Amino acid sequence: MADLLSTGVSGLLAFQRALDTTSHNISNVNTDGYSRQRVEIGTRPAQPYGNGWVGQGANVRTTQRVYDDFLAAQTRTSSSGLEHLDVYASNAERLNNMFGDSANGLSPTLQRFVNAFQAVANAPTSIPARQVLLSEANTLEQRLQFFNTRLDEIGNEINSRIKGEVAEVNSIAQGIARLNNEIASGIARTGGQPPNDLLDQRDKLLDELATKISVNAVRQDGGTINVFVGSGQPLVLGSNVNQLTTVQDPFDSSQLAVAVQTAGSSVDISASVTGGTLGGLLDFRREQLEPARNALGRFAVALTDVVNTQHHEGIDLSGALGGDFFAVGDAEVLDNNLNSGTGTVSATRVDVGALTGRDYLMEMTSGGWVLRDSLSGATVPMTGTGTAADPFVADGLEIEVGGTAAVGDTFLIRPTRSAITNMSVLISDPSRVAAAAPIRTAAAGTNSGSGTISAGEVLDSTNAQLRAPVTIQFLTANTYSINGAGSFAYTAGGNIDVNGWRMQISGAPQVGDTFTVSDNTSGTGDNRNALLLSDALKAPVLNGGTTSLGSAVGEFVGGIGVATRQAQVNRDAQNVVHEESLSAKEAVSGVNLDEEAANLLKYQQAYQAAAQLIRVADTMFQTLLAATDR
Amino acid sequence: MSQQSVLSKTQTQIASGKRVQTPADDPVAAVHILELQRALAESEQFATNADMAKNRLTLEEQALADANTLMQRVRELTIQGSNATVDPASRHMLAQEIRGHVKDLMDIANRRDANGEYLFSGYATLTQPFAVSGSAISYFGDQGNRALQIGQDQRVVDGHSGQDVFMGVTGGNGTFITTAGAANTGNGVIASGTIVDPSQWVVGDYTLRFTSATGDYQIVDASAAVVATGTYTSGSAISFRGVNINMSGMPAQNDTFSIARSRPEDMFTTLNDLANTLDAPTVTQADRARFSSDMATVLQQLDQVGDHLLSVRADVGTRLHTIEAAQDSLADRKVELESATSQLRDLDYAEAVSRMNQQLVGLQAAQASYSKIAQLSLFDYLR
Repeated sequence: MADLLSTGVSGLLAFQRALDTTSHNISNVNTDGYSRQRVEIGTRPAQPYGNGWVGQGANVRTTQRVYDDFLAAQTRTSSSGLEHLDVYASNAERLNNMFGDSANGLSPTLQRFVNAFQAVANAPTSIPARQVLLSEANTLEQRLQFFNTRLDEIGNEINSRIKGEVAEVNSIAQGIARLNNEIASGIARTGGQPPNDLLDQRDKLLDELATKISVNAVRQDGGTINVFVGSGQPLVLGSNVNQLTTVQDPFDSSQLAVAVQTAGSSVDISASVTGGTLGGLLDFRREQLEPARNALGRFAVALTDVVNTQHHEGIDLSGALGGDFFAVGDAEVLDNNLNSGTGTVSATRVDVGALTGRDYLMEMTSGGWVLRDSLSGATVPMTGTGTAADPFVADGLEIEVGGTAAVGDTFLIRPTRSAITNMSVLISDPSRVAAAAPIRTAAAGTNSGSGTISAGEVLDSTNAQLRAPVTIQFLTANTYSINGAGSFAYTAGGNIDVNGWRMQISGAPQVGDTFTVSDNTSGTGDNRNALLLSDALKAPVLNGGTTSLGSAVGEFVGGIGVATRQAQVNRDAQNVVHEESLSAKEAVSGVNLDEEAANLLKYQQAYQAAAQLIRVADTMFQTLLAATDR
Repeated sequence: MSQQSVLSKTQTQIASGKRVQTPADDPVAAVHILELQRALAESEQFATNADMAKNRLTLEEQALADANTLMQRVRELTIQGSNATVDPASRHMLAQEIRGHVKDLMDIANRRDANGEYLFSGYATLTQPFAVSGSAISYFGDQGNRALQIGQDQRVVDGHSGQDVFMGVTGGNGTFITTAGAANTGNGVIASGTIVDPSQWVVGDYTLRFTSATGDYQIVDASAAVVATGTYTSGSAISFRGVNINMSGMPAQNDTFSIARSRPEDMFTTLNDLANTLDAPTVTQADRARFSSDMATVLQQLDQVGDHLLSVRADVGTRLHTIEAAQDSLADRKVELESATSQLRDLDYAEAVSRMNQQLVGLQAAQASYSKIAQLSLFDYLR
């Protein structure tokens, strides 16, 4: 009977615990990261009697959370991936919106600039038309500056976000380490009983950490977990934390990289960070932002090259040869702050058509200098020996090396990055726009033959004799002299190249007919160079002479569009994956109120039944008392 | 949530009327749209250029028409004056009027456009092209031809240089020019002559010299070598090297006539020569013969001037026609580019509205089902 009472009490206590846990579940139905808990009730050891074993009731073995390690890890991975793609896509969308503006984008601004040259060609003497050209040039330059500054700003924002995320990662890591400690002592104190709510809290922190950076959590004996980031660098080891820090890029101090600080040293893990917001930011910077800045720079370099080259071949309203129209920044060489040698590297752009928009790493190896693509690490072939007289030549660059570099020293070459930062329009006086050609040709009015002379073109604007007068006189119908000297065979329509210019005489000139090529100083109404400029701006110059400036803009904007769309699609797909793994996890660990209601009812009934046992025991005892109370 | 964002995107599309909002919406179309818009801006510029060229050529055409009218008047005066019976005083009046026309012609040749640029000075548009220098009128412009771009690969020259219009008129009959020697004493009159067989003509300057009073002549070239001899009878033609020279009257011994290869002559010289010829004395028989020869030469030169002006005007007309054709095709191209852009970028409203309705239904269904499901709870039944 004493057994009946204690059996009943054991049931009461067990069901009380079960009801407690159910109400705990119900109360935490909306708690983030909470895993449903379950009471495991088992039988108490039975009592042996001669006629068999008699049960002694029930007790609570343990209270466990319903939790699936595999599903939790999967959710963590998928949320890490989702955050990565989300940050990537939302930043790509910013680029996309910035360059996609059809009214103020690069493409219409460039076209207005080309049209302005046409307008000058229409009225070369018109100062207003020239003024419009200069303002369009300034607009184009400012547009490029604007885009470049916005890209810089995005780069700075990424830096400060990286800083912020790193700080959060550190505080989360601290939290995990503290919980590791509490969990370990909790388990030890209760003889191996799991501190469910602490475990949930730690898992929640781990989930949060996974949204920042992809992590690898390894469970240890004693209930602690170790957390590794990057390519296996420990972030949390039991209750110890290694700080994540930001370090300056070894080449470019304006860029922050992520490193793990271990005793005495820090390891740059930027390249191996894959998921989470940090991964997204680093990948976006590497795959979208940097190439966008380089591509924009390459456009500016090509624009400057095209316009300057042709502008040099014309003369302005005052008759002076055209100077540079745009100025643009030079190729950049940054040395690694860890270099130990005294080597120097300098790079100059020589061929716009061969420029790629990539960055390069120049590395001193035991076998000499090697040029690599800074992103892929693939070797880029070079010709030449690297001296001033015979520089290395690769991808449109001439690279000159000096000093003595130590093996392992590296230099980062950025051919077009700072082009726009140092870009400006050099012409402010509208009359300095070189719309006219420097030479003019004429057939003498007394010529009796049918010979005609072409307008001529400039081959070499640096020829000192370019604008010196030249008279071509026909000695016979088939030979001519130049400035009274020599006798050259005449071919109708053949090129006659003198003093850096080229022209053709066609038809049938007669003996004594003269043709002159002279300085075009008074040619204020000449528009030949303006037309050539507008042609040059439409000519294919980039990618080995296959892509015009206009198509380069299209390619650039289209490339950003494609990348953005891809990022959006990836994000949407990852969203579905994440939703699925989340609901799979919820299905296991989530609190279902219906289930809890049923449990509540079940345990309540069981509790009532157990309470009845107490009454039965009491009744039995009273019966016994009454039977003996005589 | 995702239904809502899809719906809001459709809404933005309907509000703006654009299907492609950013390049990411349809990268291929976006790049194509950029290219189309670039082509559109370019062809608008070509249209502006074409208008400009048209205006300039129209101005030139007016100037040429005025020059033509003037030349016709001069021709009338010449025909009036070529009659040897007109008395010297009247001829002097005619000469004076013609000298006045030289000035008028120079004014036409020095015309400017609305920007103050000279129409006929080639590239040197700020240099006055024609001015009196010494006894003649000289050209100070150059031979530049300014072209304007009116199509992707189409350029049209927006004028002619003064050299082309006023200076380079073919002299004589285009092959040679005949003039009577100033010291001739006979009454032989030389006409302009014709080419019978161009293949036999050797370019050069020849002199026809009469070696007797009975019409024996020899023709020598520039180096005084005799290339032909013969005997002329009044009214017959003299033939040599594929050309026929018609003469009338009878030259005296040692009278000379030059048969020089054609050289371009400017209109001002032609008019001045005409005025001087009209002022020349016609007292002796020889004077009258020279007068007749000179008038014949001048009349022929006036014909050449008329032809020359016509050919320049025809050239202008052709260019204007080219421009109009280009303008038509530019207008067509604009419509074509705009409709292509619209097809790529603009929204199909019918499709978008029906899509929006569908999405609305989806969203409403989702909302309704959520509220129904949310009401289901076992706790409601445990009372």
